Amino acid sequence: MSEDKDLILIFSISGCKYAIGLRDLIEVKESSALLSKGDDEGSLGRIAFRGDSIPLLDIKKRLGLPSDVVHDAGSVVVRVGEAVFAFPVDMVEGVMEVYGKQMPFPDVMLEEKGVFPFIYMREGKFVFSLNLAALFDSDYIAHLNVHKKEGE
Amino acid sequence: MKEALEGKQYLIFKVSGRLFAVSIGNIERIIPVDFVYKVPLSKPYFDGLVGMDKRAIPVFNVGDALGLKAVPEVGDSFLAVEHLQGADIGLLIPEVVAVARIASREILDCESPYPGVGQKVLWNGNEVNILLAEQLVFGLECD
Repeated sequence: MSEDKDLILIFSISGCKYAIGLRDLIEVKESSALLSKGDDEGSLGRIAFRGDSIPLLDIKKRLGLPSDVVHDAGSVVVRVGEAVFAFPVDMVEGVMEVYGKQMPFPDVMLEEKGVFPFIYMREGKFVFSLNLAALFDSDYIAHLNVHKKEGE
Repeated sequence: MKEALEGKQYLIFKVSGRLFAVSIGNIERIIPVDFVYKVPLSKPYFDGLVGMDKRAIPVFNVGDALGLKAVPEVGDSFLAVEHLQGADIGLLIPEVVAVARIASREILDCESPYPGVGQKVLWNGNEVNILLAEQLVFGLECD
C-alpha cells in the first residue's frame, strides 16, 4: 500500500487551495523580492535562489485571476522537467499525506484540460492539485532561462 | 404508447420570471447549494464545483447561459444533477416551481430567443419553455 502514499504541499492563491506533489518542490521561499522585473506579462521577474537567479512566474495571471502579488508573501520554487522556476503564493498551508486514488477533476468544465488532475479533500474542503507542466509551457520557461543567460 | 399518452415528468423552474422545464428522466438528484468552489480557467457559465457523494460536480449557471441575468444567491438555489455527454453536470436553478407530468401532444415546436429551447407548453395557464439541457450546456444540435 506504501506505493499509494504521496506527500503534497498545500497553498492558497486568491482564496482557493491548491497542491503540488513534494517531488516537484525544491523549496518554499519566505520572500519573493525581485532582482529584476520581467519583460513579458507571464513573468514577474527574477528572484535570487541559491547563488543564482530563477524566473518568478505570475501564476495568478496564468490562472486568469487578478494579479495582485505581494512580494513578501513567499513563493514556491519547483522543478518541472529541466526547468527551475518559482511562483508566488498567498499562504503556504503545509504538507499533507495522501493515500490511494484521488477524486478526478471534472475536465468538462475547463478551458484547458489537465491543469487540475485531481481533487484532494482536506478537513472536508476541496484542494485542487496543480499540474505545473500543463500550466506553464516548457518552451516558455526555457525561453526565460535562455534570456537570463544572454543577460548575464 | 403508454408514455406518449401519459407524458413525461418535467422539473419546472423559474428564471427572471420566465418558466422553463427540463425532463426529469435524466436528473439524478436535486440538491440545495450552500457553497460553490470557484475554479480558475473554467468555460463560460461554469460557476465552479460542489461536492456530492465524494464527487465533484461542475455547476452550470442556467440563468447566465439563457442570457437572463437572474444570478441567485447560492444559499437559495438548487442544483439539478444530470449525466450529460459522459459527465455529471449540475444545473444551477434559482427557483424550483414544480415537478409536473406533461403529455407530449401538449408540447409545441417554437422559435425561441433562448439557447436550448425549441419547444414550449402551456402549463396551468403559463407558457413554459422546454429546455434541452445537453443543447444548452454543450451547444449541440439535438433531435
